[in-house]
Amino acid sequence: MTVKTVVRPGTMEEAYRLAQEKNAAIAGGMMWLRLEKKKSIGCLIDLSDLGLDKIEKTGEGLRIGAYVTLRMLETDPGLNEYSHGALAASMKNIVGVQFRNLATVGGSVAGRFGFSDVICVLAALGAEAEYCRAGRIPVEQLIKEGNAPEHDILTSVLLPKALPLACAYQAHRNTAADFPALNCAVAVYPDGITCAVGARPGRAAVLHLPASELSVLHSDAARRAYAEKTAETLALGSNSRASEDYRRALCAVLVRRVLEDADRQIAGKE
Amino acid sequence: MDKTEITFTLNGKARTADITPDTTLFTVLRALGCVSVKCGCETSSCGLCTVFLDGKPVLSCSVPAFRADGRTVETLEGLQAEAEEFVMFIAAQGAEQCGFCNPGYVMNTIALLRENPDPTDDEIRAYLAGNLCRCSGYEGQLRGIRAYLDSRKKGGAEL
Repeated sequence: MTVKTVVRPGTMEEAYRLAQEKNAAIAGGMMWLRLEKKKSIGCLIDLSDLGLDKIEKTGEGLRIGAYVTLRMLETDPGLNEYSHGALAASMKNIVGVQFRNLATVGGSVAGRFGFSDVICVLAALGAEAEYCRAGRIPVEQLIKEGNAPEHDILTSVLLPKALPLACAYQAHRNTAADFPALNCAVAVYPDGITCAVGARPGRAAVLHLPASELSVLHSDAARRAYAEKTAETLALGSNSRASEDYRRALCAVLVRRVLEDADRQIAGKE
Repeated sequence: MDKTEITFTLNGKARTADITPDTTLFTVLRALGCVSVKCGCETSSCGLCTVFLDGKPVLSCSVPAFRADGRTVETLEGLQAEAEEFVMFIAAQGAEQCGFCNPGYVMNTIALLRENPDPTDDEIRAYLAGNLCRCSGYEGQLRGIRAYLDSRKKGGAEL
């Protein structure tokens, strides 16, 4: 990667104007951008002066600034209470503490990586990505459509005000600190269940169950049946980390486990 | 490429460096004589280049130098007193072979113990997961840290 100039704008309006230039890029944690060896950036926009490194409780929910690091997400007591520990569970195997002190939630969401542990949990929690001009886009939609708003700036991620009754995360990695071969998150609400399966190797697929099917949580037979059906029908593929067949086997296990975890949380047995 | 000057505190002293936008903190620190900071992978994977930025362990190969402007950086050169007793336990357990990963390990262990003075073995393993060692199976490092912590509880250095 080569960079011609770095600008540190004092306002979001200035940042947005700079982002319209050809070959401009936003400097998040720089963990991925830096690895793009052939990339030539004209203007690198550093948003460090715009107060995007905060986690705030608002009337609409929890606003996580785009510059909040994965380590901050992992260790924030409020977020962990909100997500029943699922956010911390999703972060803890991402490379190492040093990496997580640099990587940002904005970079993770804007990157829309298929392997992303962060996106998987956020999608299950019904999070929204807030962009400077495009406004709020549900993470589920952002990853499904495959197109992020162009030349826009992701400023924060918003978690809905309604607390999940339960939330759980599971992933399988071939070696510790590697990308997951498959990951899975579930969030349970009074009006239904959201289940996200990622690292398929594609971006997370998000499944919804209505309130009438909440009983899927409460028996081993029902959890197993749902997990196996999901594994059979979900679009999965092969890459260097796992074959499609292996992912199907993993999916049946991980979905069952997150449902078990969620059931334990609801029953107060965790 | 634009050139600019940054000013930051390195191991307690104000330092300046001329950088370009894509200069890494690693490059600056090595140029300033901090040879404890090693380059292992340049892909944010191995932990050899661990330094503290405003007290937090980070991978200097992945930090653009412009992000250090106005901030505090610490390397092992500046933490000799804090590391001195601990590294004796690492050596006594045979945890070092080639030694190349050692500075990064020591830095991250200091960070761990500042954050959690009495970690369990699982907490030690989790915190140090970002430090790779090609020579060992990581048990020597764990034994060394455990021996150091046990010695500290007993009130003195007993290798």
